[in-house]
Amino acid sequence: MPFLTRWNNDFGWGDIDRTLLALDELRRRMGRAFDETGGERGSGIAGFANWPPINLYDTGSELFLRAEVPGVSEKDLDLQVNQDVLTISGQRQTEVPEGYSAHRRERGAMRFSRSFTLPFKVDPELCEANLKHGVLSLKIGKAPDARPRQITVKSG
Amino acid sequence: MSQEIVRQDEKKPESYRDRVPVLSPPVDIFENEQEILLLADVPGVKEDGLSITLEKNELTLHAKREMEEEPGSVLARDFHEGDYYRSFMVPQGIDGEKVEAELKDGVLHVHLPKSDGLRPRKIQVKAG
Repeated sequence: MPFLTRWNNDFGWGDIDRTLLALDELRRRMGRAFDETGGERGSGIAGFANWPPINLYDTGSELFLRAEVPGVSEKDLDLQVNQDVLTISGQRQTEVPEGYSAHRRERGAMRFSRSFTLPFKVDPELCEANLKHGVLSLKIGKAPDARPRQITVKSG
Repeated sequence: MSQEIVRQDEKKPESYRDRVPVLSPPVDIFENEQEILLLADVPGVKEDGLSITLEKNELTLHAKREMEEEPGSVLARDFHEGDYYRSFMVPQGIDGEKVEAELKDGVLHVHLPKSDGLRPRKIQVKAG
């Protein structure tokens, strides 16, 4: 059946498959966007778009960062410093405990990642992080070569 | 039961209106045969800042958040000072004496055990 063969190869299922694949991809992306931001689950209570909420302070010689990460344990939290970019990422799981049924679910499960470009290079050795009562406290020290330096002028 | 626990009072305590801002923490509510379990995100709250009351069938959560002193000037601020407050209607038949709460990683867990009358009972059928 030459006609059918040609129809299959040149038009037919190939195109439909591609269309379906595109729809799948679109749906996947939308699903991901909703999953990552918490979607409408958090509406009216707290937005999850910029999760976790972060406060940043400057003391002159150091930066202090505080982030509210309730329900995130140390092992699910990842802090990375790359030159002058600080990234906080991790995940929070809010599964229904086994044997329970759910009446209300406002606490979103999520993977999160937030990055900051800092106004100086950071020495990871000079950073200190502490997690307590669901609040991450991070002290960020300036790298030695980012500190102001005195230049001596020689005569001659 | 599910209707009752879903109903929620949005009122705020009188004494807080002009003072510290009040935040409504997101909650999860679960149930099994033994208890109702409520989880609330309350980062920054310590055990001694918590007050949980069950009066008639109104459960009230009030959590005082300790904001540490701000070191230096503010570059960015997503969260502000504020206490957590929220109340719920819980079904009758919760054993108020046995309500237990714990804090873990900034999440409040409240266990509301059902009294015997509320638990499902298996009825034995005897052969006559």
